[in-house]
Amino acid sequence: MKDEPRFTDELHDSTVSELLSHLQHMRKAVPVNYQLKADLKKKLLEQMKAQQAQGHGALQAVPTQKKTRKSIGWLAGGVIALGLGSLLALWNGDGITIEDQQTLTFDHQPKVQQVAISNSGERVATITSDSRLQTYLIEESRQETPIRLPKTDGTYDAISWANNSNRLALLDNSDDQARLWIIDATTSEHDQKIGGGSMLLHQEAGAVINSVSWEPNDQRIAYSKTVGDQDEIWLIRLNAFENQKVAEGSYPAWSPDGKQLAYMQDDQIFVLTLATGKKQGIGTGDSPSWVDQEHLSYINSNGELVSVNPNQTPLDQEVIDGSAIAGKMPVGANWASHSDLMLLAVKGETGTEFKIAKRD
Amino acid sequence: MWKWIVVLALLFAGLPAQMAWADNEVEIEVDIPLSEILKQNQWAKLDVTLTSETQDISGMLQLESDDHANAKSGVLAQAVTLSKGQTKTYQFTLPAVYLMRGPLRIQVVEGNKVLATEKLETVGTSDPRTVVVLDQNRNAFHFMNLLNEGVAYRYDSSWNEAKTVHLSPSELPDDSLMLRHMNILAIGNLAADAIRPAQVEAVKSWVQGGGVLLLSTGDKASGAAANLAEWIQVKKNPGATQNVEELKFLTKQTSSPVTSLGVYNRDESLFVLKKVGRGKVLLANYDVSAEPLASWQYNRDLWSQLATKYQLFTAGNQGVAVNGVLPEFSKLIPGVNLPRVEWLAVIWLVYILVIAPLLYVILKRKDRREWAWGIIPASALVLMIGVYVIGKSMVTDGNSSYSVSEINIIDHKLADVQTAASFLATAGGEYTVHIEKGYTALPIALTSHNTWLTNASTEQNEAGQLTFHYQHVPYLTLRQAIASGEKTDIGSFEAQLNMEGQQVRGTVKNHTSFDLDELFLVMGMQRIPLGAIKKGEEKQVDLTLQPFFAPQEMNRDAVMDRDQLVEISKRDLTTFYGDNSIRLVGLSSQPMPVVTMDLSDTQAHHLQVIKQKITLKDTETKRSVYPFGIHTPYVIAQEGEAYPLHTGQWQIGRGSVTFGLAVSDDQVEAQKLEIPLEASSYLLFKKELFHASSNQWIEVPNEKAHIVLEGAELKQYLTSAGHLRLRITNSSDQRLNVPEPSFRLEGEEK
Repeated sequence: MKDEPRFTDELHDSTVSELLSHLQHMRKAVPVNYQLKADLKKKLLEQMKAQQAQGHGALQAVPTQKKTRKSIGWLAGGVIALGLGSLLALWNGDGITIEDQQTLTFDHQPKVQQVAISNSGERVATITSDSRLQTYLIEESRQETPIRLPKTDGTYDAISWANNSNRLALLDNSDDQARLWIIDATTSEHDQKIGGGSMLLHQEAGAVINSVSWEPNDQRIAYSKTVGDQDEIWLIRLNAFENQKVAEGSYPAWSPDGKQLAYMQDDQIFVLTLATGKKQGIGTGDSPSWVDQEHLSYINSNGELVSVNPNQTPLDQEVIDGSAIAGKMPVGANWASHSDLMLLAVKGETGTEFKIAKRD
Repeated sequence: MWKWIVVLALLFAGLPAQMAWADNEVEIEVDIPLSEILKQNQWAKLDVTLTSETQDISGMLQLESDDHANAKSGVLAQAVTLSKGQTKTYQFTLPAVYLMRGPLRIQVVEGNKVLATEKLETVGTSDPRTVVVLDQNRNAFHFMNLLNEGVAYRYDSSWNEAKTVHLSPSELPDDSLMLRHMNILAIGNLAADAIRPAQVEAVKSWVQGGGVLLLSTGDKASGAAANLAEWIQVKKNPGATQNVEELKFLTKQTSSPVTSLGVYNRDESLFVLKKVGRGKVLLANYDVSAEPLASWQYNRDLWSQLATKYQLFTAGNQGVAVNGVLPEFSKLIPGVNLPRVEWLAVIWLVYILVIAPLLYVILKRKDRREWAWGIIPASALVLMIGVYVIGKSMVTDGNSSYSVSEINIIDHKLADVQTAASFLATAGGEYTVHIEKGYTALPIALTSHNTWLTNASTEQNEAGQLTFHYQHVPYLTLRQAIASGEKTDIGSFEAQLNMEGQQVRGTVKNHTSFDLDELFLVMGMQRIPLGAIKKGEEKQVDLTLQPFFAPQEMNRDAVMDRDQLVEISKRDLTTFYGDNSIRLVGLSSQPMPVVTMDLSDTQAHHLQVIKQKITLKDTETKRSVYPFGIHTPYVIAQEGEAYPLHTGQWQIGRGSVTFGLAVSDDQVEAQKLEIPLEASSYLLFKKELFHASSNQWIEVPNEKAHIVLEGAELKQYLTSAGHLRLRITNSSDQRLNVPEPSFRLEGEEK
């Protein structure tokens, strides 16, 4: 600026007025711009609001739609599940189905009657080759401490769990004596000191006791014995000096209500009503065992495990599904009355196999 | 939000104010009669003497637990009014066990002000066998205090440690229930007017109920002992007797200390036993406090043998203050299904976890979160009202009470009664319960294991009738009471029952004042139903007994419904083990007002359990028969690995158990005893019987294991106390279980 030629005052005044005029002109233009700016701003805000409103609605529309789809999905799933369930229930009807859960492995090869499942379904007991009572916890798949059995010059042939306690009935047969023992297999820490005791409930010379079943309230035991060539079923009380013959036959099985005894006689299965003495024929087979009050199972002449409702007329024999595991035929069944488990003995290639199965 | 806080604060302002304490303005003195001989299962009295020092008082006398940790204790109260300077005595009657459980305290309260407090000393729980002596001579009966140390088997003798307490005549209770704290009451030289007629009547009533009275007489006897001798029909016929052999015989001495004695009745023996109702009176025909016998060195042995021979220390089955089964049973009010705690918990959990959060979420969405302060408590209130209204109709139709009484018939004119009752007022609040005159009673709370004090006030009118007032009872909450007394108009059963082998045949007639819904014949471990029988009706009996040796096991751990609980309770009330008796037991739902709830529209339910001892006779020999399971053995000794199992069995591994059986006792002179040891369960054990005459153990071989001892042979096996001993041994290491031996007895009633 210093080097520029110095204008005359007249020239300076005209420049300033032109500048001022230009500024005025600009100023006038500015309100228009401000106005425009304000208008623009207003429009922008309105547009933004409109956009927001649209966008919110769009956002809301999405969750609602999602929810609706979800609900439909759940509903459909529920209907399908209900339908399937009903189908299964109807399809099952009264038929019994079992499913293999577990195979028991023993160090020895016990006979069918030498293995029994407790009525709670928690334990299995067996007699070892060295005359010990070995119990297993099913769920934990482990052995418990074995219990030494009374010395005998015979063999322990069969065992049966009591219904409401940790006692078992054991049969011991030698050449000259048959014995029925009651063993206390308690495992609680408190009772360990006095668990494992044995009581000789019955001893008889010249007989073979071959099967035993506990009354549901554990007051009596039904046992079958062979005297000569005659099979007999007797009832013995655990707390009184009373022994009573009720039928001729073997393998007694007490019904869950305690009013009936199923048993075998000359390859036929019968059900005896104790109060009346009425005897009902069921079918040809052996190893009767009560599934529940309405169903009695046994091995029929075809080697199948079947169930029948003794109260139904006519008697309808149904094969228990799943009982022929991997083609192996059942040879014995023992149902846990307070559980949905059962012990199934099947004929394997090397001998009898014992399986824990679950009833559907 | 602050508005809601204000509302809540106002609500809580309604809580009761704390008690204000004042200096002791009332003097309290506490006395517990017979405190040194209290038996915990009997009623006791607590006498509270109040003296007002400075002012007139009208308030409440309260008895409560002094244990602040015991939140469940209630307060038992009665109204008191005292003028300034006046002294009055008030009384609480309660089970002695409450005084032993302690600690308790007494408070005098007027409004919210505690005027005085007194803490009670906890009474000792020794529960001694007690001989209470009334005699001018403070040394009388001193020999009763001594131990019998010379007997090899202490269970053979009922002479064990006993406490002798001398009372002055004024201290003798005039209430037969209080006399039950004594085992024996011995009355010697005492003037007739030293004890009041009310006390004499109490003694007589107590003896009839099972007490044992010992009278010392002699040729100069007069006064109280002589009067009571007249009562048992031993007439005064004084003189000297040379018949003193009994002294020698009982003490096994070679000679008697005297050759002649002055006796009350010349025609009677030295010791005369008379049975009165369930109790007995032993009259010593001579003065036991007179020399030379008073200081005879074998006095102790003499009285030891007498106590054993006449079973002087048996309680005679006297009733107790609180029968454990009755209060529990009375809770099972017919037609009332109290809500299970689990259901109430579920309802509240659903509210807390689901409804309340849901309400909050809704309010949040509505942008009304602050409303939650009001809406959520209000909804809780609505839920409460809903549960009340709906639940009430599901629980019960209306106010209900259930009174369960155990009636022990002593004879045709006297029965001992114990009652427990439960009350349910659907709306709660206040109500009154009246107690039949003549009964001792108490409002109680039933805790998980015991009974205890509960919130109630008691009142006794001039006629002696008690009333209980229950206040501030929450809705659908039970309250209970117990009562004991005697009735004279119950009547009795008449039983003519004979036994042939295992068959029982005969008749039973109901002379009681009740129609019975069920009647049972109860013998040891067997309870045989005979059916219903109306009053006046006769029933034929023909049944077969089972030779039980152990009671039937019942699984009491299983969860039971109401019907099962009722059945278990009935069974507990109608079965007996170990008291060597045969009984008829009847159940009746006929009303017998002992404890009555005074509230409108109350459905009152009743259950009477009526019991009476009877005898069975053998058809052929006409002797009394006690089938298997009635006489139960006791254990004298156990050696080696021998442990008792559940009822009725032992486990023995290389060890032995020696059992004793009281064959002859004060009721029966045994003539025949049968012990069936031939059952298989005994085969593996060595069995031995003690031959008392030769003092040897004799082995019983398996082939002769069904033991039958009769007449003279039986006597050879009995100790001097009339007990049989049987030993069972397992010589092997194998742990074998064996049932306790079972016995069948025939004998002559004494």
